[in-house]
Amino acid sequence: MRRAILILGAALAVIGPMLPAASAADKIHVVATIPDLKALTEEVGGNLAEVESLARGTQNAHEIEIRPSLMLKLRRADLLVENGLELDSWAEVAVQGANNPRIVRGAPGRVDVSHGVPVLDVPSTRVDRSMGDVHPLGNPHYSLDPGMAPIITQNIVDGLARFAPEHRATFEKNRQAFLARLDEAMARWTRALEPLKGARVVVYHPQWIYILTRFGLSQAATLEDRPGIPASPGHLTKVIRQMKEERIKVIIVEPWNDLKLATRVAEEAGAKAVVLASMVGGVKGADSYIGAIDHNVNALVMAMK
Amino acid sequence: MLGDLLALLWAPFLMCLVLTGIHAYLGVHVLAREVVFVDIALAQIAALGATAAFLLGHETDTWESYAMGLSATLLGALVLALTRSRRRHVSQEAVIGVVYAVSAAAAVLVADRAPHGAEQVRTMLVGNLLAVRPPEVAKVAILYASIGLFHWLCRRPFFLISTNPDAAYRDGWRVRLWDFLFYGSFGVVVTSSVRIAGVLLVFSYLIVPALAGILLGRTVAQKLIIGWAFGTLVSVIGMAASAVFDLPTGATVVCAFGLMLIVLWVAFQAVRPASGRLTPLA
Repeated sequence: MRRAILILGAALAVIGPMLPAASAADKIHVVATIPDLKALTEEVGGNLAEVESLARGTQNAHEIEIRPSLMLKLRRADLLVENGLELDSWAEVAVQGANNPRIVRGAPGRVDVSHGVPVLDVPSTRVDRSMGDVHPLGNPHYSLDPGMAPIITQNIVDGLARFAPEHRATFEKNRQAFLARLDEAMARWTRALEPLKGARVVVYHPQWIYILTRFGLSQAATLEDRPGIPASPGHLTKVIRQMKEERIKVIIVEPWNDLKLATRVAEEAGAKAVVLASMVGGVKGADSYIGAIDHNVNALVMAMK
Repeated sequence: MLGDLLALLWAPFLMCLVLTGIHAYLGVHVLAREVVFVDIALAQIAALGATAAFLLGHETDTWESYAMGLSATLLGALVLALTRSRRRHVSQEAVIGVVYAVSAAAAVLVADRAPHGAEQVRTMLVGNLLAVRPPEVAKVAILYASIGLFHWLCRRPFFLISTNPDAAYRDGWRVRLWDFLFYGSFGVVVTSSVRIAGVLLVFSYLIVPALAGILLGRTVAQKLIIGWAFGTLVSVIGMAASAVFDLPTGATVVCAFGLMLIVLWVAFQAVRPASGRLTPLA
């Protein structure tokens, strides 16, 4: 009996330490601020990376409450992938709390994927708090525009390669494979949205400017008078009037915004309110990058019929 | 432009009138019982119930959401009825205060797990008056009219227990049962109102018109009529201000209540300076 225990003990002592080491050493721990970036990092990293997201797809990406679990995730991170353009400045508090030298500002593990992105809506005048939740560096909601995927994934490849240079070729290969699939999907989306070129839509929050521009639609007005502040009846009346005059048929609503109000406004204006995924995972069926854009394109086409 | 504005605002305005009708009446009771915070606590519990339903995937206008809000409120009403003692203790206010704070915090926690939680928490606070549609106004009006009828039929025990509970005990009324019926019907009203107007506005509609009635009126009928008139006046002022000054509607009406109460009190002081009472004399 005693010998059996000794042998078992010796076996465990030898095998034991090898087990966790075998699984942990292989994967790069990446934390992304938003689920879009998590999805893209997973495409590029493949099975070399283990990726988590700080925000959930249904949340409002401007204001995420920092919780201890976020700091714990960041503490273990080798890389932090962020959207930049001040969308995820809320993450800075968690980063400081996590006290992880690899991902502080300026460290090689900090990947800001907005480098090289052609930013839209850069304000030309001075901005301040009285204008609501305006984005001073330009509209940061570029991540779910498929045309931006090449730039974003290139930044992610560079970031991953800084940490693990020996795997750069694999990351590049993964990226090319993903972009090829994306190109196929892009052809499908362009076909579907072709008849809607030139159409004007109303949006709740100016979340959609990149994807609208990409496919030739445009934003006529926002339901929000100033972002982040509930709309006044005067502003809503103006929007309803504009929708009737220009025959605008669709109001696009983010999953985290007030669908009930948007539906009321749509009814008054003879239009339809449709919820699109503002991030991957924002609505049911939008659980991957291509899946989310698929959902959005289909929903938009259905609503404009 | 004015026509468009009215088209948007008429249904919310009608809803304000419906809210005034039932809430001013219930407010007279609440002030007589001197448990002012009970309504804000029950409103917050109703909001917590609705938020919990939200977490389970039931949007605000589903029957599941209403059922959960109502169950939570009735449970709260039960607790409040049971904690009333024959001698008026300060401790019930303490219980009510704790219930309010905890349910508000719990709603934040629940909302954190839910899809668009932050928006939900804000809607529960200031409501969503602008999104009200005409069929909703009709449904709520019918519900509140039924409750009003119930209270009219049982007006003797309800008013006796609110104004003179000792006499009620002496006369043999089952005070705890009537308390539960009162808080229960109160809970039904509050659960419906909170999802439309939010906790702050429900509180305002409950307390401020009744305060005006008690300040200026002597008999119950007078208090009610003055309360209804005051509530209607403030609704008009609040909605007009929101349209003219381009402000969010729910919060503007709450502030209008505050402002008009100050105006009323000043006028009251000017007319009858000797008896500057603000508390009800039942």
